[in-house]
Amino acid sequence: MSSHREAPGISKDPVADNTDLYAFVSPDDPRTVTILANFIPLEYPPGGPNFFEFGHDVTYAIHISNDQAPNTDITYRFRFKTTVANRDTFLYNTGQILSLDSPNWNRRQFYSVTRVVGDAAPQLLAEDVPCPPCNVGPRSIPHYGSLANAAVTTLPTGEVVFAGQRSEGFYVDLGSIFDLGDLRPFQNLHLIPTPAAAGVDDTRAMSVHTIAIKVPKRMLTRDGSNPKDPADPRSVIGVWASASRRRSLIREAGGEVAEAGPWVQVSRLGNPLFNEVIVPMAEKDDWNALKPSDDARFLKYVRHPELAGLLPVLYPGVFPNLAGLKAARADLVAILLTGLPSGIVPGFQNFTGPAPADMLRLNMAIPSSSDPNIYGILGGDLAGYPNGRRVQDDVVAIELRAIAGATYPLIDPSFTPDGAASLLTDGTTPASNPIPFLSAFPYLGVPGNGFDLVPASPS
Amino acid sequence: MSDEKSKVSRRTFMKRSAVAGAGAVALSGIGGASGAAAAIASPKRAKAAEHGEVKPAEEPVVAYVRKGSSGEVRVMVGEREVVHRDRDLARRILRAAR
Repeated sequence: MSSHREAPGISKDPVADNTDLYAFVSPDDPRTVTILANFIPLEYPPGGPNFFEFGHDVTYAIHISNDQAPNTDITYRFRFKTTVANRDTFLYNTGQILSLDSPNWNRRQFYSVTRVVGDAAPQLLAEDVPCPPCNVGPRSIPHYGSLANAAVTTLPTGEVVFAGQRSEGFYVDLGSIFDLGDLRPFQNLHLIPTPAAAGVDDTRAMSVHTIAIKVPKRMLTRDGSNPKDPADPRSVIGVWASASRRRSLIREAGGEVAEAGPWVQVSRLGNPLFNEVIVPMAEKDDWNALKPSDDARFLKYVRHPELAGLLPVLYPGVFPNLAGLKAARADLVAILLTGLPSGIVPGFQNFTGPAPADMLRLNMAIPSSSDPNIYGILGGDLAGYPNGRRVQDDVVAIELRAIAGATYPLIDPSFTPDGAASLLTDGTTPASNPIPFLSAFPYLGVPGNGFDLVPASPS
Repeated sequence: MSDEKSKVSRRTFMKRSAVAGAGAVALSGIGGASGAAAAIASPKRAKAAEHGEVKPAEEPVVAYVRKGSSGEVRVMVGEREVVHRDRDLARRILRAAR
C-alpha cells in the first residue's frame, strides 16, 4: 500500500517506516514547492495512552536532486526530541490542551531542521520547533485544527515547516488488492468471481505522521533561477525521502539504550508502490538500505514487472494484448526511473538523465491545476502524478493502468492497450475518506480524533 | 525512551566496563577502560594511554567483530565508525567474549 509496511524489515519498525511521499507546486503559493514525507503507517486514532510520535532515535530526511543525475544535491534533515513534563502520571494529557505550551500536555516533541547543500557544511536552520499533539479527542483538544496550525513554522531562511500527526491521505482498498489481486469493481471478471462491488477505503480514518516543508523554487534549482520553461532541464527536480538509525544499539537493564556509530538508512521512498509492487520480497530490505543511485540493479523488475504477468492470469480474457506484450517496458522505466523525456507527452518532460533511479520527479515550471484530475498525466493533467505527486492523486489507479499497458503506446504507438487497462481502479477516491484535504499547507487533512473514529466502509 | 532517559543511559553505560555479545563488545570511555579500550583505538594510542595522553571518550564506544578470522574490528563512537585491521586485537576480543 504505497509504501506502508512494504518490506519485511521495516514492517517491524513503524516509527521509521516512510509510507508516502508527495512533491507538488503549492497551489496557493505558486512560487514554492511543497514536499510531504509521511511516516508511521496505519495509526489507529484511539491508540493511547502512548500515542504515536516520531522517533527521537531516527534521522528523517528529504533529499532533492537538481543536477540531472540521481545525486543528492540538497538534504533537509529532521531530528526529534521528546520531553515528559510529569513523570508521575501515565496520562498523555492531564487536562485540556488549548495551546502548544499547555501545562496539561505531558509528552511533547520538538525538532530541529538542518539543511545540507552539496559538500558544504550542514546548516542548522532551526531548533526546538514544536510538534502538535496527537488528536486525542474533543474533550482533550477541543480546537485541534487551530492548535495544529499553530505548529506551522516559517524558518528564517524562508522555508515553512510542519511535523506532526495528519489524516492519512493515501486511499486504497487493501483488503481486496491483497486478496489475490481482487479489484471489487471488476471482481465479477476475476479468476475466482464474485459480484462487482464498490471499493472500500481501508486507510479511511487512519492517521500518519507527516514531515512537511514548503520551499521557494529558487532554493531548489541548481543556479537559483526561477523555473518558467517546462522544457528547461533546470525546471526538474528529483525528490526522495529516507529514515536512518544508528549502526549499533545496546539494550541495557531497565529499558535503557545506548547507541553509537553512523546513521544507517533503513527506509526510503520515491515513487509510490515501487518497493511494494515492483521489487521482489527477498530484495525489499536491501532496496530500503540503498540510494536511488543504486537502482540499476532493480531495472529488470521495472522492464518486466511481475504484476503485468499476473493480470492476464487473474482476469482471464480481459488482458489479451497485455499478455502478448513481451518487450521490455520502456514506458515504466521512463515513468519510474528516469522521468519522461521531451517529445513523449506534448508540453511536458521530467527527465533527470539516463541513470535509473527511483525518485519523484517534479517539473516545477508546470503550474498547479485549478481543477486537478486525480489520474494526473493519464487524465490530461500535467500537474499531477507522475509529475511529482499531489495529495489527491489516485496513484493506485495510475500505476495499475500503466502496468496494464495503458502507457505503453507512449513508446510504441502500434500497441493497442486492452480496453480494461484505462479503466482499472480499486474503486476508492478522495471522497472515500470523510476527512477532507486542506487547501493550504500542510494540505493533508486534520487527523481524525480518537473519540469519533469512523471505521472503513464502502465508498 | 525519551532523550532524558537516553542521557541517563549514557551515564550508567559509561560506568560499566563492558557488555559482551557474540563478537560484539561495548566498552566504556577510553579512559575508564584504560589499556583494553585504548588498544582498540590503535596500539600506538594504547601506549599513549598508559601515559595518560588519550582523552576519555564522552560517549559509549562499541567494538564489533563480525568475523574474527578477518582481523577486522569496527569501532563505533558518536556518529563515527572506524575500521581497524588487527588480527591480534580481534583475537583478544573474541577470547574475552568466551
